[in-house]
Amino acid sequence: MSPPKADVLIIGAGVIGASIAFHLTRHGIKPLLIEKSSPAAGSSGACDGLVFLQSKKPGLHLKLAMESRRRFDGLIDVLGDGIEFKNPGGMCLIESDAELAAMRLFIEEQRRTGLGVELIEGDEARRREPCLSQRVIAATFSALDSQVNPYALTFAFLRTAKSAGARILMGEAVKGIERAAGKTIAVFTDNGRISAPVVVNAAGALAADVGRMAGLEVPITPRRGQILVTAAVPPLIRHCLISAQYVAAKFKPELAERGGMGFSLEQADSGNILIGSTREFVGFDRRTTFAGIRTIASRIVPVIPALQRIPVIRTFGGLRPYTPDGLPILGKVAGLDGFIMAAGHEGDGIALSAITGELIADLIAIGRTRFPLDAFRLERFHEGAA
Amino acid sequence: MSDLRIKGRRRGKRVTIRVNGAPVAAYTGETLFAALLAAGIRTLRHSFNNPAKTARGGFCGMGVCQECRVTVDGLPDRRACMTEVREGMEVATDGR
Repeated sequence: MSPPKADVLIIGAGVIGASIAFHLTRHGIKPLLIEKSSPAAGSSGACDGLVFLQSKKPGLHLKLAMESRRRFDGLIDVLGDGIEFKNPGGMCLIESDAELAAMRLFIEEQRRTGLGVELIEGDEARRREPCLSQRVIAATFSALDSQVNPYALTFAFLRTAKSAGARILMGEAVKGIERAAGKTIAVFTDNGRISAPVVVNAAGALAADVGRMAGLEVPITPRRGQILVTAAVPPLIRHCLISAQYVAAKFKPELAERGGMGFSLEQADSGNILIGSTREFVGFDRRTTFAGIRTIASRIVPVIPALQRIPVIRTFGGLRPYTPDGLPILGKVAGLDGFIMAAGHEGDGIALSAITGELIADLIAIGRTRFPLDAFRLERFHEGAA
Repeated sequence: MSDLRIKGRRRGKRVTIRVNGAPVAAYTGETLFAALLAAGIRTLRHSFNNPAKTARGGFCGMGVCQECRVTVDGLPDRRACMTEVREGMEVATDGR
């Protein structure tokens, strides 16, 4: 049975909605979270756990990620060891002279943003990460790169929020949003009407649908990432790893080799190695494909030959909430008081969850944020178009 | 050598596999997991990610749980329950 009203209503119990709920309770606000299936049923439960800074775009995006990363140190004390946060540092693996040239420029930009990053030669990379083959000619290293268990993180946010008074409504889909005089006033579900002066759109890949209910055009589309999971094996991968090609493909597609693709990988606490990921626009189809899985597997084996003899036990696909400029959409929306956007993190939702939750909660509770949200406004996509 | 098989059933041809160097009797058509179990060999690995290094062995018997992984003819991490026995098969437990 739905409660008749809520001070703050959050749509979506993925890592973003969960983090916002958690941070709101720290302000003494008891939000209502509405989730159409179950927590972490979307992207947050179908992704890797990398909190990678080297993969973020230098400038604002990287700054936001660094702020988020910093907050994880404090979050462990509140959320507990169960989130499996660890900070082994990360390497971006370089396999060609062209990538090396690009990464030299890239780390200059990263350093200007304030990220400590070092360029090391192939042999030094192999000394630190013995699983790497001779294909790796150099690597960039950053001590801040980390990993976390995304499921455990989402549930820890929810559990902690719940014990502080947040309410979570599961299996209930939002069907409409009532607005009047430029304000949101209520949300409709299958079970009725819930009045709410503040509504947060944390619906991830489905955020465009929720936006439409409020009469807004939200340019978030699903982008599929397929991931392989190996059997649990004794510690093999020491660092969070990503290929320079992945970074190149993300920001400078012209640098990515023809038909090639990058990869990222991590070894979870359980010993399973997660290897990702494709980047495909195929609508809401989250199935894996033989071609996608084979591409990832054949790409990774020459770089980490030991993986050839480790069985893949599972594969899955997740839908990343993609925005055209790679930045999330955060904050208030012009012309619709009480409606707040917190979606569009693409593959960075886990990494950015800590800061996103804090910023949105601060915005709701005290009306200002420690990090300016101007660049993340929804209106950036509509300006100049009219 | 103990044999936990039900007596009096018709079985395939008798073959011999070697487990950590020791001969073990098996019958064609059996999975390696079944043959190991029939010979009383239940511990196939030990946990590496819990401090007590607990013994591990097959659980589901149908290819899902990944607990019965052994080395078969030099190939590591083969699921015993998805592998049919063969004359002369060399099996090693505990990732040996």
